This record gives sequence, C-alpha cells and structure tokens, in this order.
Amino acid sequence: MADSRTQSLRIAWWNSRLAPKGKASSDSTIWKRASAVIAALIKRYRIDLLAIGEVAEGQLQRIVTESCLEGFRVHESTGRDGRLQFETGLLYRSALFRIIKHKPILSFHGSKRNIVGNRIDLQISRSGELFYLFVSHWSMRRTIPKNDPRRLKLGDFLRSDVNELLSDRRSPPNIILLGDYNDEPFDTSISECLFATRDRRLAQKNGRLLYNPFWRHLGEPEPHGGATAPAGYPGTAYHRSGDETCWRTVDQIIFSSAFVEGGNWQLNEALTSILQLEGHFDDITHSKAVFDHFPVIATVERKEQRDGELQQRI
Amino acid sequence: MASYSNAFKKGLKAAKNAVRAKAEIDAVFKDLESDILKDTDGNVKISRREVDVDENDDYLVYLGVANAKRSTRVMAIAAENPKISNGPVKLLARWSQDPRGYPCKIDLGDIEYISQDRDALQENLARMLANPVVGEKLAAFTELQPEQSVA
Repeated sequence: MADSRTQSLRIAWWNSRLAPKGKASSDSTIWKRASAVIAALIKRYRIDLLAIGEVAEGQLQRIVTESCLEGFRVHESTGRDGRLQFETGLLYRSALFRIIKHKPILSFHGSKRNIVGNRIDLQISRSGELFYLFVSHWSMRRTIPKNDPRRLKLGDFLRSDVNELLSDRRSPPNIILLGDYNDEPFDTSISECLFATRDRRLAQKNGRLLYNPFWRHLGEPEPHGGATAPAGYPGTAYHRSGDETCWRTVDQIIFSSAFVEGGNWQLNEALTSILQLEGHFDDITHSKAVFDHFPVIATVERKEQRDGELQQRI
Repeated sequence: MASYSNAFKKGLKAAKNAVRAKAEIDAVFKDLESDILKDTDGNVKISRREVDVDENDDYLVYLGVANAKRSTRVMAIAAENPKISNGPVKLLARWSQDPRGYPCKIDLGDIEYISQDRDALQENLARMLANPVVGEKLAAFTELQPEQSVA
C-alpha cells in the first residue's frame, strides 16, 4: 500500500498541567507522569499531531528527547507578554507536516486582554494541502464566568478568523479548532458564537457551520443498569467542587464542514473520543490527583482510503 | 407582535453609535499619521488603504498544484513616502473593522490584535509600530530619497 501514514491523520489535544499558568511545575511526579502520557499518545495511539495546554518553554523538547519521540518536531507558543501568558505547544510528525504560518490572536478591551487562540497553518508535505489549526486555552470560569460577555467575545473573535478563511477560499478549507475552552459544546460561546453544531446533517448542507463531534461525549458513556460495571467518566475534565456536575466536556476538537462533506479529508467519528488512558488516569477523581483533564483525539482520513486499516492501528 | 417602533429606534441608536465609533477610529489614525509625518520630516505617511498581496491559493492546491499563489486586494495599514508621487506602498498590517466600528483587527501576519475600544486600538497601533518587521519597513522609507524607490 502506498504510504498509509499520509492517508490518515490522528490529532489530539491534552491540557497537561505541566505548567499551570505558564509556570513549570516543580512536582517531579507530574513531570514523570505527563511525559509518560505524551509518550503513550504518540507511541501507542500513533498521534500525528498533538496540541498541548499548560506547558512552559522547553518542556516539550525535553519530552521529545527524553522519551525518544523520533520524527517529532516541537512548535511552542509559550512565554509572557505583559499580563498575557502563552502556554500551548504542538508536537507534530515532521515527515507529514510543515508549519507555514502561525500567529497568536489577542483581544484587548481597555486594560483587559485575552488570548483567543493560536492559528497554525500546516501544509501536508506530500500533497501540499493546507490545514488551518486554531489551538485555544480559554480563561477558566473563575476568571471569566459562564456567559460573561468576554467569554462570548472569545467565541465571536475565533469565529471571525474562521469566517475570513471561509469567505476567502474557492475550495472548502480544512479548519480544525481544538483546545480547552472551559466551556462545553452547549454553551453559547461554542454553539452560538462559534457556530459549532451538533447537527452533522446541517453542517453538511451549510458550509459555514462547524461540526462539533464532542456533543456525543457529554454524558455517562454507559447507560445505568447495565450488566457490566460503568466504564469511563462523563466528560473530559474533573472539577471536585462542581455543584451540579463534577464533570465537564471542555476539551473539544471541532471541524469545518469540509471534513463532513465535500473535502478531500473526512472525519472518522468512530475514532474521535475522550481518551481515558488506562494506567495513567486511574486516580483523576482522587483528592491528590495529578491530572484533571483527559486527552481528546480525532482522526481524519483521505476519502478514498477508509479501508479499515485504521481500526487495526488502535 | 413585533414592535417596529422600538426596533426602528434601536436601529437609529446603533447607527449613531457606529458613526461615533468610526469617527473615533478615524481620529486615532489621524493622530498616528500626523505623529509619524512629524517624526520623519514628512517622509513616511501611514494610512488605511487597499493593497495588493500574494497569498496561498488553496483552490489550486486542492486541484493538485503545489504551492500555488494568487494575487488579492486587501484592506491594510500601509506606509508610503508622500514626497514621491506614485511611489511604493508597503503593507504594514492587514486591517479589518466591524460595521459598528469596533472591534477592529490589526493582523501583522505573525500576530493578530483585536481592539474593542479606543485605548486598545491606540495600544495595539503602538505595538504594531514597535514590531521589528514593521520597523524595518519604515526604516527603508526614512532613508528613501525622492529619486529612489523601496525594493
């Protein structure tokens, strides 16, 4: 078979806690276990493109070196600019992609400022096709409460950049938004400001809508009363002090309609999920838990190449 | 039942606010223009205008033409030497503005600033001027003589 690696791409996002608020954690347990999770994502789950939140400068390169992640390159958006803390990064398979452009998107209102996201334009080395990535880690709700106008603006501004790509192109652009939005798929910032819909049929008809496969990952993964013990948790992030729920699906990967209709690359939703890595996250609900987020993954495939080979790779 | 009267009043108010916001933005650019003209002995004028740029053509790439480019016209914050007629115009940043005035966007290519009010716009224009790539472009103009052109 011709190079199958260029026919499917696995994408993941993980809020790692390696550097909360951009400051590298001094806890060696976090470092050790986060490195192990990242290595597992790449080696066991064969992720081609891994966006990571809460990292500090140099941490990803150190993990690549120490975990022998051969063929992976690091792109960082870290450091401080005044009151803005940049703390995301990207690990990507360098034989598959090259980064042709990247820019942080920042919003200012008087003395208040926020990071809307990082746009990263990737080119598939073999075909020259472009993927437009928007990596975001929005402020937590303690800083900007749910439905605060500032939170809605983050959705509006991200959407504005998506609109530019949609209106500017004669072919449906491959746009992928991923990150920890600290908002869920049903929150106004995501569903109404960003126009990330649950309705795949509508996204197939209307090329301006985004499709959010993480609507499917809002509740308990198994029905109550089944024969087997419940497996997995109802969300991507755990908040011990939650009133109405301790779980939220705030980590999401969202796609332009090209991935569900008309584009060269198609979303394989069966391979899009919350990854509750066995052995790494057993204690996420424990009071001394190391992590509070699970990684989320998604797979896109060239249309003509959906032959079941991917299923075998899991 | 729809209240046309209320909607009409709301529309008038929104239009009035938009006119005010756009005038405020124009005034910020007027100040910027006059400050830079003064600092450069009249050799550099910064204004908003349309500029032609080359960019990736996804459609041709989609059809199989690798690295295809196309020329397109964009709204920009641009610099020129007003002492040279038909002289070169350099794009400093792409510019876009909401029909209501704010928010407005300054896109430097490697960073994008969204301004939601006058203070933010002033601060972001200052950030733009302090950017080394923009500084390099402006430096070329300050050294330019009327008979020379910018490469």
